[in-house]
Amino acid sequence: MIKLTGVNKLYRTSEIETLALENVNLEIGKGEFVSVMGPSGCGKSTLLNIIGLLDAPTEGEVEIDGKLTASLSDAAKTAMRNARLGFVFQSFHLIPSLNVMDNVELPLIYRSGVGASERRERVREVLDRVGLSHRMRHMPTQLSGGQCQRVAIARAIVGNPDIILADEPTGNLDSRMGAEVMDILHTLNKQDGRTVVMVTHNEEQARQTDRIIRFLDGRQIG
Amino acid sequence: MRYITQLWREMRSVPLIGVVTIAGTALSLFLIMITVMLEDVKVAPIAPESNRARFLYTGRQELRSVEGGNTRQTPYAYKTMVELFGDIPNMEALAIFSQGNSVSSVKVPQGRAFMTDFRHVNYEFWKVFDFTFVAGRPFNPEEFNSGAALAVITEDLARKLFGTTDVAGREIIIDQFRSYKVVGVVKDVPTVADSAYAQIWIPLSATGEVDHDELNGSVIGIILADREGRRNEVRAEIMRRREIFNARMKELGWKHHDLGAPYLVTEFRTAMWNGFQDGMDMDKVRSGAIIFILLLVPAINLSSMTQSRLRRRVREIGVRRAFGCTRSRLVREIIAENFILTLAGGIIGVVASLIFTWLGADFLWSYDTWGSNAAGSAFVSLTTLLNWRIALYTIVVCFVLNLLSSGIPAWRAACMKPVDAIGGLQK
Repeated sequence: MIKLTGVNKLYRTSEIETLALENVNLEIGKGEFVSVMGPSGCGKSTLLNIIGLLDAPTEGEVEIDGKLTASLSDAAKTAMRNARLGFVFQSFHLIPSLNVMDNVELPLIYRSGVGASERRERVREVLDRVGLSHRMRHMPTQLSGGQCQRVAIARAIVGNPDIILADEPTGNLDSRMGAEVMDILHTLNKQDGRTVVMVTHNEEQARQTDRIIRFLDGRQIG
Repeated sequence: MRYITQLWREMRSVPLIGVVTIAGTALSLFLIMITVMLEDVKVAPIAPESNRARFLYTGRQELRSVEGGNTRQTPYAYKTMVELFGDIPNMEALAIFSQGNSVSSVKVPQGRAFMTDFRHVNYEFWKVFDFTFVAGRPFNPEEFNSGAALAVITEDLARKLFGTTDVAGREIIIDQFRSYKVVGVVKDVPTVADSAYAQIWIPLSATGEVDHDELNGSVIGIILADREGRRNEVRAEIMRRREIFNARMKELGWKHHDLGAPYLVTEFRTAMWNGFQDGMDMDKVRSGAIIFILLLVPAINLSSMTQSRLRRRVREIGVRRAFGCTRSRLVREIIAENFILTLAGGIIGVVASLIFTWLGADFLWSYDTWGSNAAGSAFVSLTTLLNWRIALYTIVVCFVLNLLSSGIPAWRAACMKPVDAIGGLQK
């Protein structure tokens, strides 16, 4: 489903060059739950951004379902993100001026052919799944960290993507809330068959996933 | 509605940026609308100059000596005016009237004297301008040709002199000793209708102007065409007549030049300040440039405010891009949001400018009455100011201001890589 071949990512400034990813070759199958681990700055988030088409590799190829993404236009990549990919960020990245409902609705607004009533219905369904349907009119500032991350997960899945990319989804949560979020991600993987790629520092959470990919200094070491 | 709700919440979270943006827009629109209204009132249909779109102004004449070296611009003489502009095909009437107003005292016998603005006019003056008579009537061709001492006065003056407006047939005395019979009373004329404006109108034939044989005169004219867009036909006829006229003038050592007349109302306004000359289209370019600069200066300020708002929202932009917002849609969304803000500021600015213009009408338009006692009032009504043109100008100005101020910041935001935007990296 996801295939990276010879992927390098080089960050260049006027003063220094940093090789964030070096010759990464990996495949992630449909329905897999994969953890990406490694110390800070080893390239985990860069990998996730490249898989999520938020960034492009300096060299190498990224395929999603056999389709080379390098040749896609910006609009095509955007459409693919909207239809196939759901993002969960460590800092939630909810839009502070939108309430819960409007935040979750976001991917559907950018999808053509989904009417307002259908959008509302689907938002209600996913908020129900993450146990927050009673908080639809609340603003993000009125929610706890765990609730914010559940809203972020609802936003990630409302468009029914088959790949969920989670960048340290429990990094800002206490252990109880972190466990709740992990439960939701496992449910999305096991029940819905969604592919989940999760960056984490938490060894215990990583062990619960199907596979662990380890990075060090931009290189895949396991 | 979604944009409005989100904008409102953002404004509440950082009120200063919102207030400065709206106030800046309001102030800009205020200045622009004052400028536009000052110009618009001069060309818009305002009774009794409701037919300005069909007016063709004769302007002034230029006389050049055949030997060269001597050139002068003067108002027309009545006879020249009739010869060059009278009974032209495609015209309904020719108003001939003294350029500017004379100031005179007027009173009823044994009454108190008032200083007033008065104007000498021909009988077709009453056809070209749509005065509203509250009593009596205008003087007719027979009365005009007889040189009768008649007068039409405004209702305000009628009340001052007689305490009533029903004064047709009554006597007034101008300049202490000249007696005139009032034949009609009209509704007051705003000074912004400066060609028609006066408080007393008396026949040109009651002065020596009609029989005056000199080339120099004291009158100007307005041709009322039968419809808009007749200028070229009318001009062709004037040129034909001028050749005949000049053949005769040559013997007197002079050549008449009409300086490109007749003029449309917009050209006439420009010429009033810059002098009558050929090729006045350049002045339209100058006016356009002034409006553009008036737009550009606030647009640059608003652009930095927009940039500042977007800088605060850079992560949001990244998140929107991540979840499927295309660059073009992002640009549209930012421009749409900004348009709401611009429009809000614009409405405040326009309302403020309308109130200011309405309350300050006498001050703003006082210069429009040449040689006037300005005893009359500009009294531009709100309904005159608030017309479809102003509404259209407001929307167009808001739209242009919005594009100028938000277009570049929006495009810069849209061009950011989603990963950089999510990371809060600002360019």
